[in-house]
Amino acid sequence: MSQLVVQDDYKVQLEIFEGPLDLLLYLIKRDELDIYNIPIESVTTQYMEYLSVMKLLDLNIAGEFIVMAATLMMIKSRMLLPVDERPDLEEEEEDPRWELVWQLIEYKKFKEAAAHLQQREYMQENIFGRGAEPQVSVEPEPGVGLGDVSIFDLIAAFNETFKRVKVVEFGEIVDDRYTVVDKIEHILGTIRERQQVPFSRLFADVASRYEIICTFLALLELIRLRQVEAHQEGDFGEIVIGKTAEG
Amino acid sequence: METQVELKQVLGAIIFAARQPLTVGAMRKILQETAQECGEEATAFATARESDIKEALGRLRTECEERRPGFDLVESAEGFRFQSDPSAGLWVRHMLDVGKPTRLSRPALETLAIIAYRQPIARAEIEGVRGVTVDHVLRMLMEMQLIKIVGRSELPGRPMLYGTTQVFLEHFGLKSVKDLPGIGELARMDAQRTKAGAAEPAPAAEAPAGGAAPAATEGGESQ
Repeated sequence: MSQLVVQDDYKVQLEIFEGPLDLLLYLIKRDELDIYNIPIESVTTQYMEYLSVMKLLDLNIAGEFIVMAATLMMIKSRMLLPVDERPDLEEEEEDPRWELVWQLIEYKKFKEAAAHLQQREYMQENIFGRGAEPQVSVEPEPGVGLGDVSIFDLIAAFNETFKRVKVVEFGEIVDDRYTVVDKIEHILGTIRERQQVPFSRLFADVASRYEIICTFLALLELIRLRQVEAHQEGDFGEIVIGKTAEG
Repeated sequence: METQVELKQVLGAIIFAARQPLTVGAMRKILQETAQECGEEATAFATARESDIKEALGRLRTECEERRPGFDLVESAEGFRFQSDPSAGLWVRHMLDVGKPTRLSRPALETLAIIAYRQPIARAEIEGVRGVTVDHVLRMLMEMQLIKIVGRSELPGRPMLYGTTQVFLEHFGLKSVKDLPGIGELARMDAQRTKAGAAEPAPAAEAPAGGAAPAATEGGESQ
């Protein structure tokens, strides 16, 4: 599936500010894994799956994702060896996962601290005082339209749709193809009509995998341009696409 | 105006009328200067100590909390001021016509949190924690004046060190960085790490906002 070259016509520049640690924490949370005892085998498999989807979409994948993939592979292979046969690495703990676990835990703490800051921010935006400074003028930030949805939620939703659609891809001729630009207009039209659309609805009548990819890239681009916003009902719930205030 | 005016009232009045937040020191100065200039009944509070003022402010604050008149007395980074009740935010926002609030994205908040808890901190260390490059986010936070360069590290290349600003405190309604929850815990993790990684005696884990350029990035933060 990786030979599908999609973005000839329209390169989506959605920068991904989440990194490999975010993806790992996302997988751990989603599957309710014990962070101290990560099943490296299955986590690695899933990590690689996300990576391949991101490659398929030709997103700007940070080099760190590749480095982490290598790290996971190394840990996996070391886990396979009995303790006394592992080649000695400097300052390695008994469990090859420890370094990574420690990094994840520390990062998680900061994620929690960030969530606390966010609460304060929401509270503070409703407070006005005498002699109040004008509030921080925030440039529309890239990626803000993601709301509570992480890029990995979107990729997961995409992947699910992508796998479900069984299409006869081979017989098709490269002619009546859709473009990301068409799909952008289509999504905007739908949102204008209904205000809100479930993610799955956007893909309800797609005919080919190519079309799914175009639609998804169009969606990412609209999120980047802050024309639409993604929301999610609860953790890992259905993703809903809606209008932004300025859109 | 015959009845005795209380310190609490005077303080409430000057904070109310002030155009910006007032510190306890500033209030004390106002009380002294007024006594010198006006004499008479104004001398009543000329000798008020800072502790008296704080105590009176405390009572004023409690009264606001109990009566909920739509505003609270709050001490921010710059001093005391009255501010509107957050539960009435919708209406105040509409009246002031301030539009939809702008909010920071999660990556921006995470980067900011790391800087706030570990400042002064070099970019490489932030990246070590987040596991991705943060150039773009740092530039944006600098533009928004939420962070600033506070010095240079002694490490090779003398990388710049970042810290949070007054604007940061205001944006999140903090009095000081020390008010951040769990600041001790996040610093302690760092110390443990140093112990485990570098096998050196960990320095006292206090004062994350301390002097410039501790060798903060040593403990094997790389991936």
